[in-house]
Parts: sequence; structure tokens; C-alpha cells
Amino acid sequence: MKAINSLILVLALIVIAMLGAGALGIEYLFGVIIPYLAVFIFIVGFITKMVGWGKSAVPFRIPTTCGQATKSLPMFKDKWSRLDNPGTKLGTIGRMFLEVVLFRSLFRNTRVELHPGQYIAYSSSKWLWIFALIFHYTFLIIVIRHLRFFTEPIPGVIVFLDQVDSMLQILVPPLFISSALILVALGYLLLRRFFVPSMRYISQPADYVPLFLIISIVVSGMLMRYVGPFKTDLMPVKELAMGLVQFSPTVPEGIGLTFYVHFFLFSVLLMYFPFSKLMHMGGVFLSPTRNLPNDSREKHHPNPWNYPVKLHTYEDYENDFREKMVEADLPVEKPLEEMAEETSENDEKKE
Amino acid sequence: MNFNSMIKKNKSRIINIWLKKFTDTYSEQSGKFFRDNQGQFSNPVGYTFRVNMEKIFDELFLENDQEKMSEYVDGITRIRAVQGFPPSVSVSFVPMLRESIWEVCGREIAREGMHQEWLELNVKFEELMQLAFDTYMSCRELLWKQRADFLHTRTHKLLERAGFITRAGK
Amino acid sequence: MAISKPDVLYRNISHKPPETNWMDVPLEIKPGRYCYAADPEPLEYVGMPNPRKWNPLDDDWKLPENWKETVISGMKERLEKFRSFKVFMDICVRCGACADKCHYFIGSGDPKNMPVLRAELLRSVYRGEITKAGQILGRFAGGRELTENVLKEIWYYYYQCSECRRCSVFCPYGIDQAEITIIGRELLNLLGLNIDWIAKPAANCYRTGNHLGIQPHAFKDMIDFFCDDIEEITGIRPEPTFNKKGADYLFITPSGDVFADPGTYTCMGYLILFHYLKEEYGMDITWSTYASEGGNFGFFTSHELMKRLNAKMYMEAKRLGVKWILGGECGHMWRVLHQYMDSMNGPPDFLEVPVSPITGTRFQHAASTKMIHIVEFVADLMKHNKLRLDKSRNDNLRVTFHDSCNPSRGLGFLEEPRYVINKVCNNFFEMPLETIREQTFCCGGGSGLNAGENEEIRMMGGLPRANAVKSVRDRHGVNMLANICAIDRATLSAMMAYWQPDVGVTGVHEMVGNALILPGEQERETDLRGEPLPGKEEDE
Repeated sequence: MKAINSLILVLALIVIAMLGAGALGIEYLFGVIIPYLAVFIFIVGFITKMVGWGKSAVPFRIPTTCGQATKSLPMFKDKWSRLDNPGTKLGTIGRMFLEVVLFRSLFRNTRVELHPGQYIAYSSSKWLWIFALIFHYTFLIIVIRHLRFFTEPIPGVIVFLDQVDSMLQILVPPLFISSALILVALGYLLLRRFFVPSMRYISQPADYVPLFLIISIVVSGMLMRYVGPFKTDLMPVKELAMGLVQFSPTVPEGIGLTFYVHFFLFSVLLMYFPFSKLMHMGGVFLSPTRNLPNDSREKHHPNPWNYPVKLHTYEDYENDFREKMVEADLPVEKPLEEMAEETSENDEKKE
Repeated sequence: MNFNSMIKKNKSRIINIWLKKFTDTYSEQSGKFFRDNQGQFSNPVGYTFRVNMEKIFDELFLENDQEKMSEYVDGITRIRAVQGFPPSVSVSFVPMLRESIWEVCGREIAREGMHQEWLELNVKFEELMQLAFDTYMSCRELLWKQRADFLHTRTHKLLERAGFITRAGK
Repeated sequence: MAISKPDVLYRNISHKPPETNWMDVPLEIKPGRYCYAADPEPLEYVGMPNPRKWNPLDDDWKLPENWKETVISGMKERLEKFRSFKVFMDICVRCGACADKCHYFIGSGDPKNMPVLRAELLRSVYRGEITKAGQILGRFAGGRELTENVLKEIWYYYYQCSECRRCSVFCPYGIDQAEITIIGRELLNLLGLNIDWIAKPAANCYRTGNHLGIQPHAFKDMIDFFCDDIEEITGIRPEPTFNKKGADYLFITPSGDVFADPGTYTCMGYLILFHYLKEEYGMDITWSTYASEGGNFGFFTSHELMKRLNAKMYMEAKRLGVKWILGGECGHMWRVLHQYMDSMNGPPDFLEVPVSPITGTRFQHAASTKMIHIVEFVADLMKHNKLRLDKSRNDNLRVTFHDSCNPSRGLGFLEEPRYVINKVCNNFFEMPLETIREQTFCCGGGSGLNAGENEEIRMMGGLPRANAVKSVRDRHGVNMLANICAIDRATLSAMMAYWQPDVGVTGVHEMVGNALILPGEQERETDLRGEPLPGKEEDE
């Protein structure tokens, strides 16, 4: 149900773009206004969210330590654990690097199996790690590749990336490896939500919507490049894109409808981004279990909202148990006699 | 083909059906997890079930060593005894084995007229059921005993008697 | 055919819930999985809200009139006070990496014990009641209204989380269910929804200094009993001091070590060690009856109560005028000391940076907190050959080590205990890698869940650990499970009695106590448990 609703939502978005930019002919809305709005919402939303998180306090140092502490006796120093349980800022940067760039934690899914025959087999459930990596990197490559529409002259890096990405030389124009891979990865990420019961159970529309959205964006993009009737002339597209970045937007003639669908869906993705789980992109940098060094015994880290609390002092305690303590030969601050005198004094005062 | 080897020939099919039936007593999400995750340590429940089911199956057609059989039945029952199932469902793996064998081999048994052998095998199932029931009860009794011990820890009682323990707020 | 359709009999028995949204699955509070409600007295004593008699099985939980606003405003407040909470409420992508990492899920199969879903219980309320999208789109945005049933569900499952942080190790964003549980429980405590097994020890600790409510004279008596036993075994009587002003060092350990077997033997190990250090090196360590609890059940209640209980350590160190503090073997105690104490109640400028008076080693990594772990202290002594040890006295033991959740995932305290164990025993075997170190499985009783009434969920939660123990027992004949945590010692004992009756449980310092040769001691016939030492069996 959740998946179907999400799919309907994305299909509706496609229909909106087709009706708007096609039937109604308001290309300016879909080619200029909505994209500008989307970029604006994305930037403002993203920053607002990050600032919102940033403003929230970090009262305690709570890194999840995933290896031997580096701040321990020198005899226990372990070179590798520096990156899984860093004690310094530099180490923490290293840890964050591995986390963000290589998805270190997802990689931890190792599994040892001991078969009845006493041999040990190492198998692993690294599929999620592999496909997550593929998805994120191909997505990144695709975004960078698209910068060729927004730059003139096109930077050499992007040209080079284009060449590498299409080096297989299958299809005409040559197939981008990244486009094929991202579909495979997205397929994996979607299918496991369908077919693994526990995944189906935990999945929300918020998990399906971005998947369907991104799949639609990729597919519409590929249609424009490879499939006859949808093929789109790139020159006017580039003209539109350059107009947008130079803040002199024009809507050239001759851009196909598929482009508007593609462009609109991406705009929706941008607008949706700051309000969704996709914000993990920014959030991962602020995760206190990962981005803090494990040095909380060595250095004092003040809690910004620390406040005085009601305590049960030693005096309260001794008052409670003085007699028994004296009887058991435990040292006390105030001997019993004093206590007795004080009480009688107090009694007198009261009288 | 004789009765035993006919059934043994279908071992892997029978075990798979058996495990499926048994793990179907859990919710879909966990049943699948228990069934599919092959890790001995990442999925001790499923692993223990599968290993002991195979052993029970094998033992059924061997000399029927009571001691070994107890160990295998214990492996499964001990887990089920703490998972909050009614007693009958906790030990339902025994009738489920019978069902699984019948599902796989029933037609052939009927065709070959091996009724006598089937009835003999059913006697073994009865014994297995008794074994499972006893094991289940001993697990439950151990749990209750632990709870009783826990409440009457000797030290605690001594301390209390001597008036050494006081409760806050009283 | 006699049994033509065997299926008929069992067809009607199915425990498979129909495929519904988890939000629609009705809550069933199962006996054996929940803990009894907190009595009003302990709540009153520490001044927690809404003290009353109530029962989780009743429909009416006797919540205060404005309970919903209390929870929601409490949530909003904590979103600003804890970045962890705010980020963890927002960024989960439900990738499922944590789903099968929780020992309670692995053992019970209850889908709401998957960390991701346990978090979603609260996250759905956050979305539905606090975020704009959730308020407008409701279910479609994964939000739901906070109703009494939702609250009950959160209560039920947040007291089925032992705050072990295993899920956090595998999460690509480090989302830590322990942190969410800690804050979730804090919210529940705003309504007086604590459990008895946590509220009582916390209140006791506040008043008497320790969880069990042992009064000062009784605390001393208990330790005297141990000294009697030690004298009987070694011929030498340790002379511990209590509340001694001007002592050099203060020792604080969980009171479980003073009270519950087999922790008591670990306590005897400490006593033997301290006597040795006093005789050989003149090291003056004192015990406190006021700060006689290392553990902190406030940690399982609220950040504030944690701070109130923890404050005693520094206050007592200051009053006695010691140089620094030595801490005993305990799990969550050490997480509090390592990650919270200094920020809550520190820095303790009246103490010195810990330096071992025997080896001269400076514990730079504790320079601010000024408290060190007895295991690291002893490891340093052993490294410098400052202890005379007879390893063979532990030769009857074939030992494996259970990493406690908090020292491993909250400190990275992995090699220290292994070093010490290898110095005092000859037969040490590791359990499989995916069940130890940072991936260790909880004993099942952490975070105040070691009550009698929830033993079944604890047995289920302990299965992954017990199963790993079984593998080394089968392969290496392991018969002793060592650990550095008082809750482990209590929980794992019951756990092993059920799953692996031939494996015992010990603290590391029990083995140290057995191996350590006191100056002038008699030839020992038995170990600290009164059982014959290896080679002395015939003399029995």
C-alpha cells in the first residue's frame, strides 16, 4: 500500500509536468520558475535544517567506540583502531572520511559461519554496502556530468568524466556506465523493500517516494538520450540551462516534453530534499556518535546547559546514619555528643 | 525401495518444509529472518533449529539413542520455552515433522502400501513428543526455580533478618 | 490412511500476524517481557513526578491530566538540548542495517525489537506531533498521533532495550538507539512511568549510597565477612579502611560486588590486591560507605538523576582529600564515568592527574576526570612486573571473555582486560569475532532490566551470547566466562544456568585474587570460592 501510494504520487507528478509543459504550454513555469523555486527551497531548507541541528546542544561526548581506545595506556596502542575509535581531531576527521566516503559502518556486516564439519566460512552480507556505494557514487557522477549544461566552456574534468563514463562504447550515443549502474542499484534498493519481509515492514512512503522519484528522473533522462521518440535536442536545453545560471532565463523553442518531465521531477526532488530523510547527507556530519573524539576523560568538555541539581550530601547521609556509623567504628564528621547538644539547643530555640 | 531410505532420500526437502512450518509460528518478518540467515552467531535461533532438526531426522532412522535425541530436542525446546508460546506450540515441531514427511512422501507411502512402517514411525513420533514435553517442562521449571532463588537469595534474607537493609522512602 | 491430513490439527494455530502496518498492530503486554511498575515511595524520595501505584496490565495507567502536552513539550525541550536526539529523529533512512543486530530481536523475533522500529515508535510521534509535514500529511509522512496506546507501546519496548549500542556500530549515520531510549525513558519518567527495578535502586542509592540500601555499618560488615573468608583461605587478613580522611586513593565499585555472587568473589579479589599493594608498596586505598555505589541507575532514568547520583563520587573524594579515584569492574558505571561525569560534575580540580605511585605511569588519558579503571591500573602493574602471581592456581579454568557493552562501545576498553586475564590464567580462548569486542552481544540484563519478572525476554536476549559461549565450550572446553561488569556477573550467571549449565561466571579480579601471592601467605588449598585448587583435589 505504502509503495503503491508513493508510486501514484510520482506518476501524478509526471502527469502534472506533461499537462503543464505540454497541453497547457506553460513552459516558462516548468523551465524557469519552478526550477528557481526548487533551488531556492533546497538551499534555504538545507541550510535551515543544518543550522537547526547545529544550534541544538551537544552536552556529552558520546562517540560509539568501535575499536581499542587510542587514549589509553601506550602498551595498548593499536594503529588501526585510530580510525574506528579516534582520540584526536585528526583521527576523527579520518573516521568521518571513511564513514562518508566509504560507508565504513555498513561494511561491518561480516559474518563467520561454523559449519558442522568444523571448518570456518567467512561469508558476508555486504550487498547493501556495495549497492549503496554504487548508488551514491553514480548519482554523484551523474550530477557532475550534468554540469556540462551549466558551464561554457565545459571544464576539462567534466569532459574527461564523460569520456570515462561512456568508454564502453555500447549503443549510440554511447551508454553511460553510471546510468546503467544507478538503475541496477536503485532496483536493488527498491526490491529489497518489496521482498524482504522485515524491510517491507519498516518501510515508509518516505522511503518509496525518493526511490520512485529518482528512478523516474533517471529513466526520463535515459529516454531523452537513447529512445527514438523521446530523443531531445540538447542545444536548446543547454541554452535554457545557461540562461538559468546567468540569471537571464529564456525558454527556447524545440525542447521536448520529456525534458520538462525530467526537469520537473528533479526540481521536486530538490524541494523535497530538505524535508526528508535525504537530509542524511548533511546529518551524517553532525552525528555525535561519530564526529567526536573519544577523549572525554582527558579533556573537560563543558555541558552548555549544565545546571545545579538537588543532592544528598555527605552531611545528610551522616545525619541519617551517624549512630550506626559510630557503633560500627566508622569515622564521622560530627561526634554523637555534639549532635545531641545541637539537637537540645535547637529544641531550646524552638521553645 | 524400503521405507527408511525412501524418506531419507528426501531429507533436504523434508527439513526445508519442516523448518518453514516451524518458523511460520513467528511473525512473517522474524520467520523469514530465522529461516534465511545462515549465520551461526548472527542468527542463533534459526541455526540451532536447523542443526538440531537435521540431527533429529537422522537419529530417527538410526539406533534411536535416547541420550542424543534428548540433546537435540533440548536444543530446540530450550529456545521455544522462553519465547512466550503456549506449551503446545512450543513443542509443535514434533507433529510438524510428521506432517512434513507425509507431505513429501505420503503419496508414495500410500502407493507402496507401507502402512505398517508408517505406523511404526508414528510410535517414534509419540516418543519424541513425550521427550519434547518433558524437556519443555524442565526448562520452565528451571526458570521458575531461578526466579524463586532470586527472590530468596540467602544473603539477602540474612541481611534482612539482621535489619541491615533499609528501603528508601520508608 | 490413519492420518490422511495431519495438517488439520495445527492449521488453526498460527502466530503470524497478518500483513498490516506496524502502527496498526495492537499492543500486547506479555508477561515475562515487561517489568513491574515503580512504586510511589522511591519516586517520591527522589522527587520524580506522578508517584502512584499502577499496573502496566491495567487499562488505566493513572497518567496526569496533561500527560500529552508534558511529553510533547518534553520532546521539544530535548530536541534542543541533545543534538543527538534531533539528528537521530530526522536522518534515519530505514536501510535495515541495524534490524538484525539487536540481541532481543535475534532471540525473540519480535519485529518491534528491531532497533529501527524501536526508534520509529518515538520518531512517528515526533513526525506526527512536531514536524509540519507530519502534522499535515499524517501517516503518509510516517507520523502518528500520540495516544495512550502509543505511549504504552513506547514504554513496553523502551524497557526492552538494554542501551547496549550494538545497533549504533552498524548504522551508517551512527544512530544510537541507546541514546533514543535514554531520552525516551526520560520522557516516560516525566509521567512517572518508571519500572520498579530501576526506581528502587536509584532511590536507595540516593539515600544510602548504594542500590541495595545497605546501610553503612552493614556495608562494612559485608566486607568484614569477605576478610574472614580471605583469612581462612590465605592465612592473611586484609585490613581495608572506610571513609578514611587523608587516604591517598578512593575506591568505588558497584555494590553488586559486595552483595551478589559471584561478584562477591571479585570483591575479595580487590581486597587481596589492595592488601598486597599496601604491604608491598604502602599504597593507601580507602572505601567509602557514602559513595558505595559505582553503578548509576539514574542513568536509566534521566540525565538529571544520573548527575545527582554521580555527584557523590567527587564530593566524597573532595571530603576525604584523596589524590584520585580508582573504579571497580562495571559496565554502565564506566560509561557514565567516561562520557558523562566530567561534563556533569567536573572538572574536579581538587584531584591530581592519576599517576601510579608504584610504576610512575601517568594516566594522561584520565587527566581531566581523574578516575581510572582498576583493570588498566592493574595491567600497568603487571606490565612492570609489580605483582607476584601464580597463574597455575587458575589452571582449572578454561576462560573466555565477554566484552561488556559499555566498556567496549562507550570506551574502547578492549585490550586491557585481555591483558590482565592472560597474565593470571593459562587457558584463554576468544569467542567468534562477531560476538566480541565492539560487536559484543549484551548479556540481556543491561540498563536496569535484570528484574525477576522479565526473565524470559532476558533469556531470549542472552541467547546470542550463550550461543557464542557454547561454540567455545564445544571446541575448547571453556568452563568460565569472565567479564568486567557487575550486571554481567548477575545476569550471565542465570543465563548460563539456563543455556550452558557447565560454564561459570567470574569477574577478572576474582582470577587476579586467586593468582596473586600475598607476602607471607599460607599455602592455599582452595580458591576464593572455597573450591579446591588444581592439584589439591585429593586433599579435600
